[in-house]
Amino acid sequence: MAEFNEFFVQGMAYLGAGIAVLSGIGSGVGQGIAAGYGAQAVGRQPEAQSKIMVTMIAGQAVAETTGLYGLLIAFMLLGK
Amino acid sequence: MKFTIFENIFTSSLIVSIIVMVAICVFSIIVGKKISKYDYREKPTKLIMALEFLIGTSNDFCKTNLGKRWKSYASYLFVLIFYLVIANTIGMFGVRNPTSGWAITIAFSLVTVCMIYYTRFKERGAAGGIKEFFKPFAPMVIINLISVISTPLSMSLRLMVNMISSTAFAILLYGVIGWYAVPVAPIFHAVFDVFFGLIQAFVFYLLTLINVQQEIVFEDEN
Repeated sequence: MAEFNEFFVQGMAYLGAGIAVLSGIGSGVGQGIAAGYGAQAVGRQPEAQSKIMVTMIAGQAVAETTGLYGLLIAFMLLGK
Repeated sequence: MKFTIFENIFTSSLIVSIIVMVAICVFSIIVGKKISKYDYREKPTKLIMALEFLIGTSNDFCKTNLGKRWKSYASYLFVLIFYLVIANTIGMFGVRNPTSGWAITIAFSLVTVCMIYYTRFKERGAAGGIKEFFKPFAPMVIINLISVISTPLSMSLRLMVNMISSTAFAILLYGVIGWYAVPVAPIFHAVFDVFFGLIQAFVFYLLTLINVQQEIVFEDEN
């Protein structure tokens, strides 16, 4: 068994940083589904396209927040 | 390899923020003096037309959403989006973004929270404002109290992490590849700095406005 020195802590921190970024899966799936519904709405009524696009972009930027929390934890762990 | 985000005192986010604020103040004072002597019968210059369009768009958006007392919010909201558009995109010029420091974005979010709860207590009175915490049913007071903390935290972290990720990727790009990154750099800065910066500025403005709108009591016209 290896002893628990600071290289062990640093290696585990890098591993944790890699696992933390996996929270981006949720934001990717959610934003893709929102874009699908947005495209369907444009297909149903093409003259409202700019309003639909503004609504969709604003909704996606709000949904991206929880995926970014994982990136923040990864940056904090990389700094150790 | 130790990865730190480069922190030099001259490009620190607070100093850049002070420079941007002083620049906006000087610009506003000069343009304000020019407009106050302005005769409405002459042909307008391009600067005045551009400012009329921008301020008019923001004011119309506030008027349709904020009811009777939109004027007291409209001036702060326009300066907010003006500052955020400049602050998010100034990272292209080699300085650290003002909004990439958590201290600056949490300050804006705390101002938003103060606006929300000031509106709630002003529209309904002190007793009505406290009763609003219990509104759908009584145990919701826990969730409403948590949202006092979670609203500014999520708004500030969203803005900060979006901007700091563009800084971090720029450091990696120029640090690892060096001068060979010059053909890729315009696309990289256009996507990460300009596109995401403008979207996050608009989303912060929109969330502030919508959170204040939830607290206003609208009288029905019928």
